[in-house]
Amino acid sequence: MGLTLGIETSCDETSVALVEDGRRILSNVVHSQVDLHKGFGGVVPELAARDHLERLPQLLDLALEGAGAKPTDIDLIAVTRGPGLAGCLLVGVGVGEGLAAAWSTPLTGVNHLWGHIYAAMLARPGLEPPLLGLVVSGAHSDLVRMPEHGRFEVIGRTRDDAAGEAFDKAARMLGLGYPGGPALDQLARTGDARRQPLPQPSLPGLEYSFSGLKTALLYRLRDLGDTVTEQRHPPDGDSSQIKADLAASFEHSVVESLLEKLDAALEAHPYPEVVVSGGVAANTLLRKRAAEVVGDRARLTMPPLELCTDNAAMIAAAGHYSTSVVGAVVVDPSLGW
Amino acid sequence: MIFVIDTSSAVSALAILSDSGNVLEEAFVPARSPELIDRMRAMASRHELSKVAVATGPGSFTGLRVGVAFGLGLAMGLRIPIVPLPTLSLQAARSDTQVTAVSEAGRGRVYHLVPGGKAALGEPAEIPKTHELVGFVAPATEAALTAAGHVFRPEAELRSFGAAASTMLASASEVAYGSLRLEYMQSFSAPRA
Ligand SMILES: [Zn+2]
Repeated sequence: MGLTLGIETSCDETSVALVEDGRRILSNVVHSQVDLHKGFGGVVPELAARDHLERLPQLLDLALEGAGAKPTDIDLIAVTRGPGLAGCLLVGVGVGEGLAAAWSTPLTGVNHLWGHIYAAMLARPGLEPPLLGLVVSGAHSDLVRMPEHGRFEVIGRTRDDAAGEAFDKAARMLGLGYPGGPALDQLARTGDARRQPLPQPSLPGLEYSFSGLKTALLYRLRDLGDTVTEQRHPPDGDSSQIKADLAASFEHSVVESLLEKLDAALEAHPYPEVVVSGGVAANTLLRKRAAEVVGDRARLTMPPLELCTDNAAMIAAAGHYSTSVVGAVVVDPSLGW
Repeated sequence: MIFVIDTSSAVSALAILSDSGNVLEEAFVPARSPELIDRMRAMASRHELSKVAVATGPGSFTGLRVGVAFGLGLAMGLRIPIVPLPTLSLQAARSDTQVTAVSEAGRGRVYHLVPGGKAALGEPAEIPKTHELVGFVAPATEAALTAAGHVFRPEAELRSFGAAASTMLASASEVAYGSLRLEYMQSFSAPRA
C-alpha cells in the first residue's frame, strides 16, 4: 500500500526515490560520485560519506518535486542498512531516522542486495517470485533463489573476487582508468576474444572464482611486454588492438563463467522467472549472452541500466515488501542475504 | 524550541532549549547505545521544534555520523534551520575559566583544543598540561589522560551541556542543509589497488 520514500547511500551513489505500491517509480534521483573518486582510482570511503551528507538535501527536494509529492503523502521510509561502507550507510540511515521522526512516518532498513532483485520488479510490474536471481556487482556475484517476497536463499557465490571487482582490476592492468567496468566493456566491443584466449574459471558446484583469471591476464601482459599497456605501437603489431582483444577475452571468460553457473542453477531449480541484476548486469556481452543461455526455459528480466546500478527506487521497492518496520535501523556493513 | 544533539563523544548529550535559550530538558546516553535513536525521536516528538543544533565534531566515527545525519534529517523534515556547533568549542563553553576541551578519537587518541590554539589530534601525553580538561570521554580515556598527568575540571564547577549550547547559540549561525559538514582532522589516502 501507498507511497515509499527510498534512500540509498551504501557506496558511491547517493539516491532518493519515490515509489508507489512497490512497483511504480514516481521519481528516482541519483547522484554518482565517480568524478569525486576518479583521482584516487577507487572509492575513498570517507570522501563518499561526506558527499552523501552534502547531496542528500538536494536529492530529497528533487525526488519530492519530481514525484509531485508532499511529505504527508509518504507512508513508509526505506533506507539501505547494508551491506556497504559503514560511514556511508550511517549517513543514509541517520537522515532516514531524522525524516521519520520529523514526519512520524514508519521506517524500515533494507538489505541492498534484495534491492537489486526488486529492481527487476520495477522493470516488469507483473514479475512475482518464485524466481532465480543472479546479482553481479563490484562486491557480489551471488546466485539466489527467491521462493517468496522477503525470502532469499543463496545457492552460489564467489570464493574470491566479485565479477565487478575482477573487471575493475583487469581494467587497471590494461591502463583503462576508473571506473573500470564500463571502460573495459567499451574497449571489448572492438576486440576479438579468440585472438588472446584466457582460461575460463570453473569450480565444481555453483561457486565462482575470478582470481585465477586475473593472474592469467597479469602473466599474459608480462609476456607481451610493456608495449601493450603503454599504448606504443610495436613493430610487430598494433598494441591497442591487442589490448582490445585482451579486454574482450577477459570479459568473455567472466561472462561465460557467470552464465555457466546460472545455466546449471536453472537446470537444478527450474523456476519460471530469472533475474540478472546489479551493476555488472549493465555489461553488453552479459546482457546478450544471458538472453541466449536462459532461452525459452524461463522468462528473463534484466533491469534497464539505470536500475541495474545502485539507486533508491530499488530500495523503496524492497522496503515496500519488507515485513519488518522498525523504529531504530541497525547499520550492518557486512550484511548478507 | 531548540533541539541540541551532540553524539560526537563517549557520552551522547541531548538538550531541549526554549527559543530564548533556557534549558528545558537534558539527557545523556552512552555512545553506541541502541537507545540513542529512540531518545532522540522521543525528545523531538515532545516539543514544537523551531531549530536543530548539532555538534559537528571532531569526534567518534560512528556517533558523529549518527547524530549529525539524524539532526539533518529532522531539520529537513520539519523545514527548520540547522546550526552546526564545533564539538570542542561546545565542551569548552561549559567552563567559565579557560579549559582544554577533549573528545574521543578512538585507538587511545584524543582530539583536543587548547585555549587560543587550534583543534589537534594526539596521545594523552602529547596534550599540553597548561589547562584543566573538559569533555565527555570514555572511562578508559579519562584514566589514560589522568595517568598522563592531566586534571579534569570537576563537573560541579561546570555549566550543564544545555547551558553551554545556549551560550554558543547566541552567536552561532545556521547553514544551508547541503552545507552541513563534519569536522575532520585526518587526511585521505588512496584506496589499496
Ligand atoms: Zn549494488
